[in-house]
Amino acid sequence: MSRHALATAVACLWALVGGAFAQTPRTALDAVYPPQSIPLAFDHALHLTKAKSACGDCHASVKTSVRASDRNLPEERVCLDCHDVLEEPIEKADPPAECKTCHPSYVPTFPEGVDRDETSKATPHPPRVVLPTPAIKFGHKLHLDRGIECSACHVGIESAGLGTREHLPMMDQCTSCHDGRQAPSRCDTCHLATPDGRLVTDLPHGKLVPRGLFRNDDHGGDFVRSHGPAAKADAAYCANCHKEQECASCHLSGPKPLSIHAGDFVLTHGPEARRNDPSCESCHRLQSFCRDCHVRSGVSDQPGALFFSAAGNASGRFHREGFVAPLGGIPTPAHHKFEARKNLRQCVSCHQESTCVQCHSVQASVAVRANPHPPGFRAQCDRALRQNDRGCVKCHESRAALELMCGR
Amino acid sequence: MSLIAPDHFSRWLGPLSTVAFAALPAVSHATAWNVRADTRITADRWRGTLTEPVDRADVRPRLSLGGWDFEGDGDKTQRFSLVADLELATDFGPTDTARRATQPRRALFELYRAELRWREALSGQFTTDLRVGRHLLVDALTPGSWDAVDGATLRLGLPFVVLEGTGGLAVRREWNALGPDVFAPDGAALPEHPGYVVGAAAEVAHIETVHARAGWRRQFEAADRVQREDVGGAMTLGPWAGASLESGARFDLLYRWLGEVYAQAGFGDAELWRLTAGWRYERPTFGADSIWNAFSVMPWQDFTLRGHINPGLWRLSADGGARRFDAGPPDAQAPGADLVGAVLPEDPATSGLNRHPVAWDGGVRATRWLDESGDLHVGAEGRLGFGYGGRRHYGDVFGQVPMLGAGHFAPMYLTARLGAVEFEDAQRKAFSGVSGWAVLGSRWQVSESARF
Repeated sequence: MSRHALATAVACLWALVGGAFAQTPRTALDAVYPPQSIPLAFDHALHLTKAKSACGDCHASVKTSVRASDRNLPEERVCLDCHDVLEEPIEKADPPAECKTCHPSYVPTFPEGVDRDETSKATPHPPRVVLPTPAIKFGHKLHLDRGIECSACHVGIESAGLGTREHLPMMDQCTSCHDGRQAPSRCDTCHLATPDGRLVTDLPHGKLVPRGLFRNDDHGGDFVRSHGPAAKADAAYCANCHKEQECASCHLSGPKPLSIHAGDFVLTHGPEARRNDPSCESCHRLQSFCRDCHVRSGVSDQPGALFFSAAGNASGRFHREGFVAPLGGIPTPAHHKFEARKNLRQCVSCHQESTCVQCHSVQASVAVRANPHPPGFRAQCDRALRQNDRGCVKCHESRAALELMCGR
Repeated sequence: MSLIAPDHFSRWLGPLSTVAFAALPAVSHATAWNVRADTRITADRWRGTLTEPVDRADVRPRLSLGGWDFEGDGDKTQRFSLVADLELATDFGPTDTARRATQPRRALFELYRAELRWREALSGQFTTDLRVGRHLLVDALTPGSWDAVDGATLRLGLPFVVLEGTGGLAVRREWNALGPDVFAPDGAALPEHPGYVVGAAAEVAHIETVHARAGWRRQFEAADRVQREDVGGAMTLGPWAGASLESGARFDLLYRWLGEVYAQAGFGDAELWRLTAGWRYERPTFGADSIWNAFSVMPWQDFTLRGHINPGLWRLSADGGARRFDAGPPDAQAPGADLVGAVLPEDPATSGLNRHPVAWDGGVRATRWLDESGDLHVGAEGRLGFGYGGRRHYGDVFGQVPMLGAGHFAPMYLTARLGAVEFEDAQRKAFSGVSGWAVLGSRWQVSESARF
């Protein structure tokens, strides 16, 4: 299979699978829309189509509502405007006017002489409707004043029975207008925020955690190990919830985060550090952090006995036999040059340049003068020489000779 | 030498910014302040292959200062803000001085950030965002993902695009007061003079399905003393809800090579599961003062696959991947070409004849949340790595329990881990064994907030 065909196949597979899952229904996040209890029977579809009611007929208060905490449900008297519970016989009232029409299974008892429309005097009370305040900022008035239809946010309500939190706007509906052009797109436009503009993520009904709906921000799984590409692409987006201090507490400090470096990582990190996975450079500098500890521990070419590796290494050598070939000798497969080419980082975590210069310099005092440069280096060294010759002159003392070699 | 000579100025620019912050309240009406003090203490006692235990301790007090809403209008404008993070890094150890630990203790003050920020909506879709002082730059232009500047970064928001410019002094321990060394390019640096940073970037803005950023940054001390110069960018693409593509690249203008390229695609249900596949190419890069950039350094490539599912209060994840190293072309000029026909040594994983050794890595993690927030949880993790570099297999169980909680604020958490590792160093077979750990930690927050 050619590379183009393979790429096309992968793209098609991704499109098909992605498209299929794009239709996956999303549910409300508890932290934003806490679970509700609505022990009512109601049919929005019936009211909007058969009765030809308008939303504002029942939810009149939305026209002046400026907070998400406002309770914009119709009071019972609004229902009674149409559902005449005084109609006799009530079974024949149209629309039906029994209490259980809206409160399923509810059978009230009215005191002697009290009309059935004085429902507050009935006992027992029907189960309460519990609608916790959503953890967002929202003003119905602001949106209605701009001519936005109710169904633009409450998608599906026109064909629904009860209106539940599943009919409250999901974020992708909000951002269809809040795109930074039609309406503000800053996160704290809708989400609760601290004084510094970061979002409040510890909410009474749970944590506000991105779910991957936007900017590939799904924090699930081992995001702690894989968030690098997302942060590099758009650090400002991360800053909507995270302080840079949070980044620094893991990346720029000494105490090891246990979620990354479990237990005695300091003693057993060799294999992982050699693979550089997770990336050591995202938190540590080889010539300071790594080498500093290696020197203090005796794992370096500095004078002094080996510390960590002394046990079980009777020869006292850190590197294996043949790691450095004798002058004029034939390098074996154990020679350090192979390791250095594959993974120079591990050398730099212990050694300084002075170690390399001992053999790789062209200075007169050096006998080996082994060329460490890659093939074709001479043809491209001109620019490096012009931009910064400090590295060059450590081995090539003569700047003039360097310019000659690099064709300047 | 004058106090305002460039060298002195650069050294104290960051701390001066902090002083400027402290003066702000006198000329403004600050209504929101945040002072946070953390002290993290880590104490280890290691045994394992050593004949005697080794102790080590870190004590790191950190003081963070934040101020917002200087105009006292609530969250209407949020035009000005300031933040500063100062840490005293005190490292005790290894404390077994009998074993010739040559620098058993050190203590460093490090100022990570001290920035004043001004954000203003000019009109309509035009915005400005200015950061002055010591601030971090996080993007695809840096090998380690981090740069720090004592200077200014201005972001100008326009319809569909944000333009960004940066100028200042590169934060180096030697030349910037209280400068952490973690921001310096890896390798050997010869900081005879303060380093300067200039850069520019452009970002796509206000497009729902795509975010892209491209930029250029140069660090230098003089025209012929360039430390680093890179162009690069990163992009995230979300064609459908749940589907994603992330990619990025960095090109080293100094040496004219690709420093890093990566791409990863993912899809899944936002709440229940997600699968991500990625590829990454990286060539190790050192500071330009080093000799090592001119060495025959070969890139490596990563292939990874990650997935997670969240059934109910369970969080299950698994990942696996391979890193393929490269020993370079076996041509006549390459070092090691004379080895053709040599006898294969004991372990091909570390042999010079193995031109493309592969390191394998994988892990699974299961966490059971015991409350809605996940603050209370228990879990287990297992990881294994083998191939190039050696072998390191480990497993542990962990948990976190909030203590003394009141409402949803728990001032104290206890964490615990118990685990074991089996490891073998590929190049030093004798340095291998089985080790274990028991970790007990706690976090105590004095108060959620306090009024003075």
